[in-house]
Formats: sequence, structure tokens, C-alpha cells
Amino acid sequence: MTTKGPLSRYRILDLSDMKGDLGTLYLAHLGADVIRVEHPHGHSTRWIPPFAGNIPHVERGLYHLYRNVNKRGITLDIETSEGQDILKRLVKTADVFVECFQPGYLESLKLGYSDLKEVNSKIIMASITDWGQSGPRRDFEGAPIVAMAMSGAMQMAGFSEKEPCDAPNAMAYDMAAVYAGTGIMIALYGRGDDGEGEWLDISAQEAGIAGLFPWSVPMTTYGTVPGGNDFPVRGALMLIYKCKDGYVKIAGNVPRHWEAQKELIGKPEMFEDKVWDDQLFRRENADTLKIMYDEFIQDRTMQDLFIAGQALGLPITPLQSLGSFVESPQTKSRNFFQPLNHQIVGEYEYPSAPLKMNGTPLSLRKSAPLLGEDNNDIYSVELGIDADELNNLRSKGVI
Amino acid sequence: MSLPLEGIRVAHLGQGAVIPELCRVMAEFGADVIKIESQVYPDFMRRPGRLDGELNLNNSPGYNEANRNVRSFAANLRSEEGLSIVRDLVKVSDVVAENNRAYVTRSWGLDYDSVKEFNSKIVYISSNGFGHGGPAGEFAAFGPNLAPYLGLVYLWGHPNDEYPMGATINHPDHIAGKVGVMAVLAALDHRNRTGEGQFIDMSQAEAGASMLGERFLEYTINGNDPKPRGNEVDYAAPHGVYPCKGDDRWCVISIMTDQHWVSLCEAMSREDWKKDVELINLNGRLNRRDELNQEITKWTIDLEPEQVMEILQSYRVPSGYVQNSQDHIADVHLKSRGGYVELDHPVAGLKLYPGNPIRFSRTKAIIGRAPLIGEHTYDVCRDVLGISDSEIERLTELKSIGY
Repeated sequence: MTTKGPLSRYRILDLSDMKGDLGTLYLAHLGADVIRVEHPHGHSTRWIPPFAGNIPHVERGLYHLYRNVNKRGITLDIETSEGQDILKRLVKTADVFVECFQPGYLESLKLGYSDLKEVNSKIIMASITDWGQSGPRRDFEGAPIVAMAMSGAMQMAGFSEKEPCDAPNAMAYDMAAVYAGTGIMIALYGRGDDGEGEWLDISAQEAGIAGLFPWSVPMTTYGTVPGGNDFPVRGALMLIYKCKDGYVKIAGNVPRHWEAQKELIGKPEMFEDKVWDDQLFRRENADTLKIMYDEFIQDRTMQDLFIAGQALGLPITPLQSLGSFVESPQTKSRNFFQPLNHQIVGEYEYPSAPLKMNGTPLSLRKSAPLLGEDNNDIYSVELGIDADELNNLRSKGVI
Repeated sequence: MSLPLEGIRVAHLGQGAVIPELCRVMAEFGADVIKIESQVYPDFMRRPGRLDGELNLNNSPGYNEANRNVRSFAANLRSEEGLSIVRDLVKVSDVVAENNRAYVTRSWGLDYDSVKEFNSKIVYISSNGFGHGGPAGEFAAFGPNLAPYLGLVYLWGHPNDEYPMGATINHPDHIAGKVGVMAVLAALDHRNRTGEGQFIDMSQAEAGASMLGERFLEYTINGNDPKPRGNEVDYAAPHGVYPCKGDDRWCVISIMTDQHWVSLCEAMSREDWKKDVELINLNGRLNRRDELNQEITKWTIDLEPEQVMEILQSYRVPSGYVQNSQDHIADVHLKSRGGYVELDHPVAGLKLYPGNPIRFSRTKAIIGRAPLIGEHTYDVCRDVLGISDSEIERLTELKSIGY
């Protein structure tokens, strides 16, 4: 059964790209009426590979199929004067306008914040860019890997002797998108029904920096770069260990986790010397400790260590592939993946909203929109544009 | 000027990263966040704090970053009177936010079912590693556990790595904190209109997984379990990390469009590439990416990373470099936008902290230092709970509060 979600009274015009679409996805999951406004040729993110069935097609991009669920979709060429008029009519009906264009582009079309505010003083505009709306790099070009590198996050990934490795997704962009979604909610809440709007300026580089926690302050203060598995601060408490059929991660933060680790290893004689109970000592002797651990862990399976460790209250987890995560009992029991039907792709399992709300339940209301799927509903039914005008706009390529 | 979240009171029972971050973002925009902690049961993020080699709960950089602008109310949850006073605080709060293991709040009588009995309009967010219910619902996990658990570490690496290492940072935590703010504010908006509170159950593993959604569809739609590919992507070529002059210095370049390609050829004075018909579109460049990457490396290796960025950006080619914190401190762009802010703290002293990336045209975030443990106990007792000075004194002597 589909439900409306807590934000169903709000309308969001979504002109975003990779820097914003995850944020509007969360808001759509929370029930907002998010309308993707795409160029009549389709948004470029529809062509990000791979494709469902590996068939390149405007409706089959997995990226598009994930990030635009629960959103409606219309086409509009905002570089035409007719398109600009229609966009402004839509802005009158909307609470939020999200965009990721180069700074200055919308102003050049007379669609900047000051123009939209004239049409609707309550509008909250979120502009998400690589570098932000100010500063010497404002007009620089950007890319997912550029934002990730400039955020400082890449120096902290992978083996120190190899080239820095980017994340397997556009992670700094995703951080920007969730900060934008958060800012939008803050502004909506503060605005109420009658207040004034806001212009939100999000820079992907800065959003990425927020991901350095908790190492930012040690790094800016001491210049230390926490490396990977061999980083001494972890004191063998935060390492990845090879086991019989894969790897496990142990993250022991507090004294009782150390007690649990001793018990898990089950060889009290190994740690008879009380010096091991001192975290600083363990940190200094991390290499020795790791060798002692390895010997024990290598003969046990991921699942065995997961269950046995957790029974002792030790934060230990298997290192899984995406497929193993999908198939794991916890994921299944929470119904995180839910069936969704798409007109062209058919039915598939979709990773739903990462939270459950008992008062205003969330649901998958619709799959990602086909190109221009909601043109009729929105242009004729909601805006009241008559058939002749619509045909005229179609023939001119505006929609 | 009033802040957008003024008037919201949050009883903060969280620790670590996810819920503190949720609370910090709300506090920086005006919510009154009261963090309940004590020396008996300190936030584990306080534990790395050291001063002159000794444990000092007020000097943990992680804590002092994650808990900016909140008030610290020291109440001993292991004493009956401490618990009772925390219940009183929850009674007059709009939000409870917590990320303890599932049974912990139950043991305090502060789980959602208990709280709604005395505060029916409460918006209660509970975020644990694996989400409530299910076989792992009460398991323990920190951010560093969840990235491996949900598949992120497996995928984040080079194909020929000795083993999957991932990164030292925990983006799943940071996604979860913000998704939590969105959900809490949506629930408060609903409550303001209907009078109905509710329970929000947020799984940190699922929050992390939700930023890899399209990668999961490779498995659920195409039946292909993704493998690590290092810095290789299918939407851009050439694309990647290239070594520069200096020790451990790297630039990044990403050619996503045919126009970027022409610009790169011009910036590198490669007329031969520009004329090569095989390279005018992405597919052709993907087929020859190894060769292109080798040639680009020959060019970048003698340049400083900043130089590569300046040259390429002057031709409008997407590029940058792998910055470290020293680069950040020196970065004039970040400086001009307040990317980092300097905060003074009675124990930690003057330090640089990342700013709040949410920049509004009218409303500015208030970025204040993190509290000392128990710093606001008296204020909260008097101003929020209306407890008399003599009673505060009595409870303090019992170490039920203020310790």
C-alpha cells in the first residue's frame, strides 16, 4: 500500500544533477512532491552507465532508476522564453527550487534567485555547485573525483604506497546533496507557511570536508594524516583482519570492548601481563597485537566471528560485497529492498528509504519517471495550459 | 535575528558521530540541544581526549567538533535520581535523539514506548547500526564497522590491492546524521500541524547503503555483484589520479564531455590527439584510456599539482588535486568562504574546525564551541526544569547530577 509521507504538502522543483539528486530523493521518500524538470532531450544523468540489461537506453540507466524514484517528471527547455514563462508559473506553485548549474547561468536566463523571489517570495532556492557561489574558484569546472580530492577525503583512502583511490560513487557530491536536503528542511521549517524564502549555497568541496570527521581537527592541528589499516592511532582496535573465508572489521572503542576481545580470542595466558590493558600500550604495540590476533582469526569464518563477537558485545562485522549485503538476514528482515515496477525495466528490488517512521509511514509510490511522463498532468491539469498551446510548445521543442 | 529552529528542544542521548552530528546541525540553526552525559557514562568520543599524557574528557578533538553549540547536562543515568531528572527533561522536550544499542534506552525507561506515555507528542529518533528488529537489531556497531558491512570497503579500492582497505573516514555516518535531520524536521512539521509525535527508526547501515543505490541495482537488476575498479569509471575518459612533482602529490582530471576533451588537447598542446578521430567521443577514449593515462602522467609528473589545476582550469578542464589539511589551511578559496572556522575552547585552546556547509542568504549558522562535560547542568536545572538552588545542591552532592 502506498502512503503519503510527512512532506506531502510541499512541492520541490528538481533541476539538479549528480550534486543534488540524492538529497531530493530523500525528500521524495519523505513524501514531498518532487518534480524533475528535464531538458526535452532528457537529463544527462539518464546516460550514466551501466544500464538495466546492459542496454543503453534513456529509460534504463541504473543511476536514473535509483535516484529519481518517487519523483514526477516533466520536460522543459528553460533556454526558450516560453520555457522560462512556464518555469515561473511552476515556481509560483512550489516551495523549493533545486539547481546545480554553473554560478551565473540561471541569472543569465533571468531565473536567478532574485527573479524567482519576485514570482514567489516564499521560494527556497538551493544551489549546489562544485565550489560554491563565491570565492576565487567559483567559476572553475568540477567533477565528482575533483570534489572528492579537494575535500581531503582521498588522502585517507587505500594503501599509502599506492595512488589515492576515489570512492566507488560520487561521495563528495552525495555529501553535498544531503547537506542541501538538510538545509532545505531547515529553511522550510523556519519559513512556516507565510515566511520569506532563502537562497542556499552548497559547495561540494566543503560538504566533502565535513566527511573527514573525526580527523579534521587532528589534521589541521598536527598535520597528521590517518592512513589505513596500519595507522598506529587505531592501536589494533580498529583493524580489518583476514579470516578463513574473507575479512572482518573489529572496532573496539571503549575498555569493555578490549575485555570482549580478550574473551573472543579465548587465550587468557596471552594477555596475562596487565600492560596489555593500557590502550596506549596496545597502540604502541599494535603490530605485535595484530600478529597475535591474526593467528586466532585466520581459522574462523566471518559469520562465526560476527555472531560470537557480537554475543560478547564486541563491535565486529563481516566485510561484505554489495550482493552479500543484499542477501544478509538483517537486510531481508527489515525489507530494505522492496519490489518496484517500472514500465520498461519491469519489476526489480529497490533499496528503499533508510528509515522507518511509525506515524507517517514512507513507501515507494512510483518508479523513476519516463521522459516527460507527467507533462500532461502537470501542464494541462495543474497549470491549465490548453491543448492548442501545448501542441504549439511541443512543436517548438519547448516541452 | 531569530534562527529557523529556535523553539525546538532536543534531549540528546546520543554519542559518537551520527546523533551528535544531527544534533550539532540543529543546534547551529537555533535548536536548544541538551546533551545528557556524565563522567560515569561519557560519550565514547570524549575518551581519546588527553592533556599532558593524561585522560581529559574535555580535550577530544572529535568530541569537540561533533558537539559544537550544544549544552552539556551531566546526569548520572545509573542513579535513580539522575534518571528521574532526565525523564523530567524529556517531558519538556520536543525531540529525543539517541544512537545507543537497542536495549540501552529500554533499561533507562527512556525508549520510545516509555517516553510516549508521558510525552505523547515526542518526536523520537533512534539510530543504531543495523536498525531496529531483525537478527542484528541489538548488535553493536560503530561507523568503521558499517562501511565494511554494507559493501563500501569491498568496493573502495584498486583491483590489485592485497586486501580491501577502504578509507579511514566514515561517510555512512555523515549521510545518516543528515538524513536524520531531514526526518526529524519532517516529523516536527507534521506534529505542529496534527499534534502527533512519532518514532523514527534509522539504520546507519541502510543510510550508508542508500548512497550506493545505483551500485546495488547492478546486483538486483543485472545480477552482477560489483567489483572494485580503483579510479576507473565508465562516464569519463581520460579520468583519474595522476602523480605530480613532489612527495605524495597527485592531481585529478576528469574528461566527461567531448568539449572537455578538446580543451584538454589544447591545454596539453596535443594537436595529434585533437586530430585523432578515434578519440573524439567517449567510447573511443574509453578504449584507449590506458594509453591516454600514461601520456598524461608524462605531462603531470614534472608539474606541481596546483600548477596542473591552474593550467587545465584556464582551459575549462575539470581538474583539481588531492588536498591535505595543510593545503586546506592555505587554500584562499576555502578561506574566502569560511570553509574552516577558528574556535577557542577553555581546554583545547584555539583550533580550526570545519565550518557548517549550509550557507543561507539570510540566516547564518551560529558556530560555538563544544561544552565542557556538565557545563550547563545548573542552567538546565534552573531554567528548563525549574529546580530550586537547594535541590540542585542536594542532587549535586549525591553526584546524581553535575558529575
